Amino acid sequence: MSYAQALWGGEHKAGARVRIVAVFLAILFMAVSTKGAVVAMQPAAERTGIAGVFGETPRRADILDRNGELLATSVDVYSLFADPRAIWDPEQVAASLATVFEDMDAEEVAELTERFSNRDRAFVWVRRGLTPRQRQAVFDLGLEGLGFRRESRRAYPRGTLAGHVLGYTGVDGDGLAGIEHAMDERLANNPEPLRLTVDSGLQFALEAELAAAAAKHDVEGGAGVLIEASTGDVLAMASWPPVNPNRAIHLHEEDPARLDRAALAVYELGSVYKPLTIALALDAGLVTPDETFDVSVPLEINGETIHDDHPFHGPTSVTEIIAESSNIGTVKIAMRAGARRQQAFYNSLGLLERAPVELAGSRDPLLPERWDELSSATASYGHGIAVSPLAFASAFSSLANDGEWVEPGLIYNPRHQRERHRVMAAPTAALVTTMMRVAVLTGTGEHADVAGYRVAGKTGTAEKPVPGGYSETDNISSFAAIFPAERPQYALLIVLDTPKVSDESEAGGVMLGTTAAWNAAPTAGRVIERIAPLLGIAPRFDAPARSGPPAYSVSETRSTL
Amino acid sequence: MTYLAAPELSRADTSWTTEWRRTVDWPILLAAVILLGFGLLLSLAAGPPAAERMHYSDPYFFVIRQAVFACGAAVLLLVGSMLDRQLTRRLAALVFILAFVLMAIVLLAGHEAKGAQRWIRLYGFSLQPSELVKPALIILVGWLLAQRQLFPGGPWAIVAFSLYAATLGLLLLQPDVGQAVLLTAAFVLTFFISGLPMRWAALFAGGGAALSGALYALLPHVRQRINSFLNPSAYDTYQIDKAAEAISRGGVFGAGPGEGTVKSSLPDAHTDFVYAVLGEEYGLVATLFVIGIFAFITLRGLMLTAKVEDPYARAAATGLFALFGLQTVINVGVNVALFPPKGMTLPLISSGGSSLLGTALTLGFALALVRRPTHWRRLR
Repeated sequence: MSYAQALWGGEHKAGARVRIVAVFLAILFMAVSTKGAVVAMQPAAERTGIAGVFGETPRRADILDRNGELLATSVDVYSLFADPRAIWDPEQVAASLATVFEDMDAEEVAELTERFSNRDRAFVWVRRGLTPRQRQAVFDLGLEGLGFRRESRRAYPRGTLAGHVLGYTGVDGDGLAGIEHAMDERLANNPEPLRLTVDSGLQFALEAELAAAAAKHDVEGGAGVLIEASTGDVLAMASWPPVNPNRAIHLHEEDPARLDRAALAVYELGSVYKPLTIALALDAGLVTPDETFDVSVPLEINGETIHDDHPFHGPTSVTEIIAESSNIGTVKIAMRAGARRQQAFYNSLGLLERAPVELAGSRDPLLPERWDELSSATASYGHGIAVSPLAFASAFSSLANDGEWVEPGLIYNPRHQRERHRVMAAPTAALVTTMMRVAVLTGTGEHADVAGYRVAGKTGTAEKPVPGGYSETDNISSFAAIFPAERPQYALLIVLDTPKVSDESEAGGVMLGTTAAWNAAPTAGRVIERIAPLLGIAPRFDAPARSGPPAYSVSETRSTL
Repeated sequence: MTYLAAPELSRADTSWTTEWRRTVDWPILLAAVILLGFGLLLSLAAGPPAAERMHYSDPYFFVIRQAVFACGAAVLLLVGSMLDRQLTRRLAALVFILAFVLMAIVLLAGHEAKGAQRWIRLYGFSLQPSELVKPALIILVGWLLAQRQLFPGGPWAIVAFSLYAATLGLLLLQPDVGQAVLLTAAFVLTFFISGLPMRWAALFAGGGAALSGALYALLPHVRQRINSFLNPSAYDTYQIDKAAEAISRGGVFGAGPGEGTVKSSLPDAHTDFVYAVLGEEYGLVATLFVIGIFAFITLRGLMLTAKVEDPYARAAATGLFALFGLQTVINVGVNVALFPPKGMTLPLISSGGSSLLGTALTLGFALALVRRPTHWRRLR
C-alpha cells in the first residue's frame, strides 16, 4: 500500500489524517521551543524590575578658575517619571506619591491621576531633581510603572562667587546666562573641565570690597573688573548686587541681581576717558607734556557750554588737567585731535563694539548718533558714550601694556595668544601713567592710593542718565586704575551706580561727596590693597605715600550678601 | 497502554471503575497532574504580587484559588475520563447549550475587563464561558460530522458549521479574537479528520483570509496588536518586551525561585505571561521540560486517537487534543514573541478558574473518547 493510499484510500485513512495533525502540532511545538531557547539565550537586558534607573544624560563639564578651583560642577540628581501603561491604579499611585512629596496638594494629585490614566503615553514626568531621601521614599513605596532618570544638575559650590560670570543653567541643563550660556555647546559636548581666567581669590576680594562699598555708599548697583594687561585675561569681574547661580533661575525677572553690570550693562563713565584723550593727543604729537592751557573760561560748542566742577586759575599743565580733572582742558586737547581721529582711536581701543569676551550677552555700546564737534567734545571726557565696564577696563588696560591693546577674554588658555594691536607708542602710555600717578598722589584720586603699592588712576563722575536728560543729583562714579605705576601690569575699574554720601564731614559737602573721589576711588584703593599681595607685587615704601584706609573685615561684609 | 495500571485487573471484573482503571491512559493523566503542580508552583511566585496590586488583603489569594481550582480540575479530569462516548456526547451538548447561553448573557450583561466582555460574575468568581464552550462544540462537531459519514443524507455538515459559526460570532462580538482563532483551527482540524472535502478546504481558506482581513480592518485592538507585532518600535510592546526581557534574564538555569522581576511589572504575569515567570525564575531547562510535557500529552493523545476507529470519537478527540496543543503553542509563542499577543492562557498552569476547568474538561473528554469502549471490547 502506497503512502498516498495509506493516507487517503486505506482502511485507516482517518488514522493517517490524525497522524498528519500530530506531525503539524509537533512542528509547532518545536518552533516555539526553538524560539523560546533563542530568547532565553539572548543577553539579559539591564533594566528590569520596578523603579529602575536609566536614561543617563551626558554630564556637563565642570568650570574651574585659572588655578583649577571648582566653580561649577554637575551632580547627579534623580528625576521621577511614570509609565502610565504599567500603572493599574492611577489614583492610588498618585495618592501614594503625595505622601512622599508633602507639598503635593489635592489638585496636583488629581492632575497626576489624570495623566497616569492616559495609557497612550509611555512617559510622564512626575518630579525633577529629587533629593536622595525622597528618592528612597519613592523606592520604598514599591509602586509599578515608576522610574528614575538620572539627570545631571548644575551646582555652584562657591555660591555667589563669580555668579554673574558663571551664569546658570535651566532645568534641562542648558546654559541660560553667563559662561554657561556662551559656552553651552562646549560644556555639553566636551567633558573636559573648562578653565576660566578668573582667579577665585582675586574675585572674592573684588566682590567683598564692592559689596562693602555698596553698603557704605548705599548704591543701586556696582561693577568691578580686573584685567591682566599683558594677556587680556579677566582676573576678576564682579557685579553688585551679587547673584547665587544655584538659585538664579528662581529669581524674579526684574530682580536687580540678575543683571551682570560688568559686562551686560553700559554706563557713561565720565572723566576716566580723559587719560585716553590725552594719550591720543600726546601720541600724535599734537600736545607736548610741558604745554599749558588756559582753562579758566567755559567753552562754548554748538551752543552748549562745557564747565569744570571747580575753577582753575592761570596756565594749567596737561598733568594738572588729568590730576584735577578739567573738562575744558580735555576738550581743548581733543579739539586738536579732531573727531575723526578720536573715533578711530576709540575704535582701536574696542570702545565702539561690544567687548569680544566669551559672554554671549556682553552689551553693545551706546554711541553718539553723529560724531560731530560737540559729541566729540563730550566723548573726550566720557559723556555721551556708554560702554560696558568690561569694555572700558579693556581699553584702559592698554595704558598698562606699553600701549598695546589686547582682546579681553574669560577662557583660560595660556598657549593661545589673544588678538592684540598697538594703539599708542610705549612712551606715551608710560607718560600718561605717570600723569595718573600724580592724580593719585595729589589729585582727585588721592583716596585710591595704597601704601607700598603704586597706584595710577583716574576718577570719573558722570551724571546719571534719567528719562529726558541727566540727573542733577545722581552720579555714576568710577575709578580706573593701573598698577604698579612704575611697571604697570594690571588694570582695575570700579563703577558705582548712584553712590550716596556716607560721611559728610569727611567728604566736605553733599554735592562733592557723591563724586568718584569719595567712593569709587577709595574702593579701588581697598581692592588693590587686598589683591596686590595676591598678585605677587612687592610693596615698596621709598616713594612718598600716605596710608590708605583699612580694608573692611571680610566676615563683616560677606555676611550681608 | 496500561503499564501504569495494576496489571492483575481481571477482565472478568466489569465494574466501571475497574474498567476505567484498565482503559484510561495513565501517562497523560500523570502528565496533566504534573502540569497542575507546576501551576501551583508558579502561583506561589506570581500570585502574591498580583494579589497585592489588585488589593486583596491576603497575599496568597491567588495561590489558594489556584490550589482549589487545581483540585477541582483534577477531579473534573478524572470524572470526565470516566465517561463513555455516548455520555460524553450528551454532556457536551448540555455544556454547549449552557455555555452558549452564558456567552450570550455575557454580551448583554457581562463584566467588562481589559476592553472586552468575556467574564460573568458568579458567587464572587468570574466565569469565562468561552473556555467551556470550546471542548463542547468540538465534540458536537465531531459527532455531527461522523453522522454525515454514517447517514450521508442528513444536513450534518450544515448543522455543524452553523453551530461553529454561531459560537464564532459570539466570540468575535466579545471580542475575543484569540479564542476565535483557536476554535477555528480546532474546528478545521476536526473537519479534516472527518474527511473534509477539498472544496470545503478551499472555502475555509478563502473565508479565513477574508475574516482575518475584516478583523484587522474592523477591530481596532486587533489591528493595534498585529501592527505592534509587525512593527514593534512604533507601538506599545510593553508586555512582549517585558516577557522577552524576563526570559532572557532567566537564561538557561533561571534567576532562581522567587528572584523573578517580571511578575511585579507585568499585569498578566500570573495568567497569560506565566511562561515568562517560569522562564525567568527556573530558566530554559524548566520551560523546555514543561513544553515537553505539553507536547507529550498532545502527541500521545493524537497517537492514541489515530488508533480509534469510531469516526465520532476519532474526530472529536483529535479536535480536543489539537485544542489543547494549539492553545499551548499560541500562549508560549506569544511569550517568546513568535505571535502577536492574544490574551490566551497556558493550559493547566495559568491562574484562572475558567481556564483550568475548561482545560480539565477538554482533556477529560478527550481521555474518555480515546478509551477503548467497553461494548466494543465485549463484542470481541
